[in-house]
Amino acid sequence: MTEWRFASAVTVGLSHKRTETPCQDRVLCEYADGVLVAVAADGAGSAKHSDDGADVVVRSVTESLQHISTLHPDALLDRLRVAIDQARSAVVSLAEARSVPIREFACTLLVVVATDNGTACAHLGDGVIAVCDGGEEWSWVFWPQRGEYANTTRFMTDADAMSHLNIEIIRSPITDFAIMTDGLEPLALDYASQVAHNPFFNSILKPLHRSSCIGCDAPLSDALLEFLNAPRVTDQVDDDLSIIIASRRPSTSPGS
Amino acid sequence: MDPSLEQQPFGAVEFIKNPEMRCPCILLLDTSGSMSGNKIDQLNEGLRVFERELKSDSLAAKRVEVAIVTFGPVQAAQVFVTADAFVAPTLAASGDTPMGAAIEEAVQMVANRKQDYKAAGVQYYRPWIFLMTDGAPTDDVSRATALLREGEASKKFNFFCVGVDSADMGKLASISPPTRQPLKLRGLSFREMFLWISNSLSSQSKSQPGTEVALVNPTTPTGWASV
Repeated sequence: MTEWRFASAVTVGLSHKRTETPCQDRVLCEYADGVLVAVAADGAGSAKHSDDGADVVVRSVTESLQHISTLHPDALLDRLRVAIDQARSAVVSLAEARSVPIREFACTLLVVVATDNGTACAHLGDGVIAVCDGGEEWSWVFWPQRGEYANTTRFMTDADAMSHLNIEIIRSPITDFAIMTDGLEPLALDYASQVAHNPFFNSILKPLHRSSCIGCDAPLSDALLEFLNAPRVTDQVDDDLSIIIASRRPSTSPGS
Repeated sequence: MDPSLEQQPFGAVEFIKNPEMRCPCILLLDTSGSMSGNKIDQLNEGLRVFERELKSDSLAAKRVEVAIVTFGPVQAAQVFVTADAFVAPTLAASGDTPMGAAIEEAVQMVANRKQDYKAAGVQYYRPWIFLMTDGAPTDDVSRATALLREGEASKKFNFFCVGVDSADMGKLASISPPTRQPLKLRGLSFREMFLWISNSLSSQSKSQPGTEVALVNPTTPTGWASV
C-alpha cells in the first residue's frame, strides 16, 4: 500500500486572544509501521483547564495506539474504544490529583486510525471527520453532536461520554481524510442539506495531493497555519481552529 | 509551479456559506394606558438604543433576531427580524393589560420560530422572552404561569421579567418561574435596561460550546434594577 502524507495546524482564536484564554485545541499525528493515528481535541470554552484536558486526551489516545499494524478490524475497533476509555480515566485522575471538578477539563475528541485493514474512526462532540475514496466526493463519518442549542455539545468529561461515543471502522479503502474541530465546521459542512461541502475538502487537500512527502509535510503544515490565521478565515470565525489533512493518493506533482 | 500557489498553497480553499446561527429574543412590552406620557417616551428611546447597540456589533447584528409583542390588546409590533434589519418602532400607550394572553403568544412564537429554524437547518441559541410591565394583569394568567414554569424547567427559553413604576411585583413574582424572579426597574432607566439586554444577547450570540453566558448582574448599586 502507498504511504500516507499529512499536514496539520492549530491556532488560537480571536475570542480567546481577547480574553487572554490559552488555545484549547490540540492535535497529534503519529505515523509508524504503515499506521497513521490522527487525533484532535477541542477544550470547552469556559472550562478553566480544558487545554490540559485536551492535552491529556490526545497524548493518552496516541500512546495507547502504538504497535497495532497487525490488528484485524474488530480487534482494532476494540483497541480504539479501550484507548478512549483510558484517556477519559487519565482526565479523571488529573482532576482528582488537582482537586478540581472534572468538568473543568472538558473537551471533545476526534480520532482516525488508518491501517491497511481498515480505517477506524471515533468521535465525541462537535467538529467533523470526513473521508474520500479516490474521487472528489467526500463524506462525513459522524454528524457533529449538538444539543438543541448552538452552544451545547458532548464532552469527554460527561458521565455518559462512553455511551455516546460514535465509533466505527470503514473497511473499504479510503485515500484521504480530514479532521477539524468546530471552528472550521461552518466553512466545510452544508448544514441545510447535511452534507460535506466537496469544494472545501477538495481545495484544501489539493496542496497535499501535489506533495510527494512521506509522513508529516512540515512546510505544508506551516502554510496551513498561515491559512488559519489569514483574514479570510478569521473574519468568519473567532474560535480556536484545528485541522489535520491526510492523503495517500499518488502525488500529482510532475516528476514524482 | 505558479509562484503565488507556492507562497500561498491554501489561498484557493473554497468555503461554503451557511446561514448564521440565530439568537432570538421576544420583547413583551406593556403599552397599556398607564404607560402614557414620559414612560412610553423613555421606553421608545430605550428601543432606539437597543437597535443602535445591536447594529454596532457586526456579528450580533447578523445573529440576534428581534420580535416585539405589545399589550393590550396583544399585537405583534414586530415579527422576528434579524437585528441588522430591525427598526425600533414608536409605540403609543392605550388599552388594558392582558399579560396572560401576551405571554401565551410569546411562548407560541418561540415554538414556531424553532420549527422554522429546524426546517431550514439553522442552528440557534436558547431564545429569550423579556417581559416589561408597569401594572398587573387584567386577564387570567394561570395558563401563562404554567407555560413559563414548564418552559424554564425544560430549558425551552430564558424568561426575564421587569416591573416598572407601580407594577405589582408580588403578582409578577407569582407568574414568574421560581428560578427567575422579577426585577424592578430603577426609575425609568429603560436605556440602561436595553443596553444590558443587547450586551447579553451579543454575548450569547457568540458563545461557544461549554460556555455559560455570564450575564452582568443588573442589581448592583449602579445597575438598572433592584430585586
